[in-house]
Order: sequence, then structure tokens, then C-alpha cells
Amino acid sequence: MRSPARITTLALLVAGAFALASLERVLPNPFPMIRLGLGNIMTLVAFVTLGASGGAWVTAGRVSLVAVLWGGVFSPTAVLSAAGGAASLLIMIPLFLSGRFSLYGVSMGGAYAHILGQLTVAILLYVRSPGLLALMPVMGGAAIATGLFNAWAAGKLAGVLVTQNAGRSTQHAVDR
Amino acid sequence: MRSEINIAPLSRLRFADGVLLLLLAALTALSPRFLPAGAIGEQLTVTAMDSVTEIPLGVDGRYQIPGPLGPAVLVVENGHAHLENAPCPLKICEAMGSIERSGQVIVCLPNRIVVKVQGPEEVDAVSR
Repeated sequence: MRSPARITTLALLVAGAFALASLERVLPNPFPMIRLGLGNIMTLVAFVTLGASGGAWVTAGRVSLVAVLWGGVFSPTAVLSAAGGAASLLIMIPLFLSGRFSLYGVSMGGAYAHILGQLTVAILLYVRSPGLLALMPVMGGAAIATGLFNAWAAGKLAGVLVTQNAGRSTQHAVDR
Repeated sequence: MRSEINIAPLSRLRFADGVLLLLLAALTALSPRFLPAGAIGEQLTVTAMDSVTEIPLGVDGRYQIPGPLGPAVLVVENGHAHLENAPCPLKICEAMGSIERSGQVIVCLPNRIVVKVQGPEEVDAVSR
């Protein structure tokens, strides 16, 4: 459904995801190989409030905005961010739709798929050597941890949004 | 009619989450086994600015590696190699540490540099 409320919520979540992703790029990172993936919090909130298609839009919107506004639409960074985003959606959507997983499972699966997608594309497109898989212990361990954290944050945020909306019409919600 | 969202089942850990967590933890822990440790390498293949250079691992040295963002320094010391003074924003290539065994790589994607260790077999195949 393309109700104005749904489109407004989507726009806010995309803006939030872009802001979080940007913040992460600007803050100093003592562990450059590890990304927190804070932008995914907004995708998870979209899953809860708008359903799977909402989540897909928020990730697609974030990846496109970051690519355009942070320079280099076809730069390796943007290509890898798109690969990670696509891989994470490919996993998060079925995990979410199955109804068996909470946000923790969806988020963890998405974070892990993100690094696997990135490593795969980096190996096939740029490195042409599986040696890059040596990064998996660090990146995989971090993906599990950040996935759990982002799920916790998204649960809190979604809780606030849902409670605040409870008095109003929330027709746009839940089309799992 | 209003559709209520019940987020309780979504914000609490469930059984399937635990199973997934164990699976991913196992995959992470076992991942080093996918890549058998190669033999101690003999030379480096450095791909930068679309050209390939071979550098011996057995001789200590510092090499300027050109890239679109500027030069990085490849340091070869005691049979190990690592990158220094990288001009890229995240410095992942520096964080990748030093490499010595065949198949190991250091990659700087923003600066389009790939350093790969070649073992004795590959060196033979290329140069003999």
C-alpha cells in the first residue's frame, strides 16, 4: 500500500539510516576492518513497522544515498556496500518472513550475509584470490556481535515508534 | 479497523535465533580451515595501477607502490611483507598485518593495490 503515512515513515527511516551510516564513516574507527552497520537498525525497524518490502527499500535507499553523496557511484567501496546490502536483504527477508526468528536472528543473519557478500564480490571482482577469506574470523565474529547489538537497538526504537503510534491510525503497518 | 503490531516476539531472543547464532559461530571458528596454510612464500606479486610487479620475499626492502590515491610503502622484512603509509581513508590494508605464506594477500581496494604471496610451486611455474 502506498499510503502517505507509509511513504513518510519510509523516508524518515531512509534518512535515519543515511545519518547513521554517515556518522559511522566520520567517527574514528580503531578497528578499520569492523563496521558497526548502524544503518541496518533502520532497516530492521522498517521490517517491523512496514514489513519486508519496507526493509528492502530502506537498505536500497541507504546504499544509493551513501554512494551518491559520499562520492564514487562505481567506486569499489560503493560496489561492495551494494553487494553487502543485497546479500543481507537476500537473507534477512526470508528469515523475517519465516516468522521463526526475532530481530536478533534477522539482524545477525543480515550482518553475516553482508560480510560474506562483500568478501565474495571483492574476491571475484578485485582480488582474484581466496586469500581474502583470512579476514573471516575477525569480520564474522564482529558481524555476530554487531548484529545482536543492532537488533537490540532496533527493538527499542521500534517499541517506541509502535507505542507512539498506537493512538493514531497505523493502517500502513504489518503486511508481512 | 486498525492492525496492531506486536513487537514482543520480535524483540526477544527465540529458539531459532540461538540455532542461527551457533551455526554462524561455528562457521566463523572453522573458517580458517577453508584456507589451508600455504608454504612459506618466495615472492610477492604486486598488482597496482593495472601493472603486475614481482618482488622477492627473501630480500629486505622498502618499495613505493603507486595507486590512484597516492603511493603506499610495501615493507619486506625477514620474509614478511606489510603495507605502510597508505593514503586510503580506512587503512584496512595496514590493519591486514603482515603476510608470508603462499596464497596470503594484502588488499587496498580504494587504492587498487593487491599484494599476493607466491609459493615455490607457482614461482617455478611462472619463471622456469
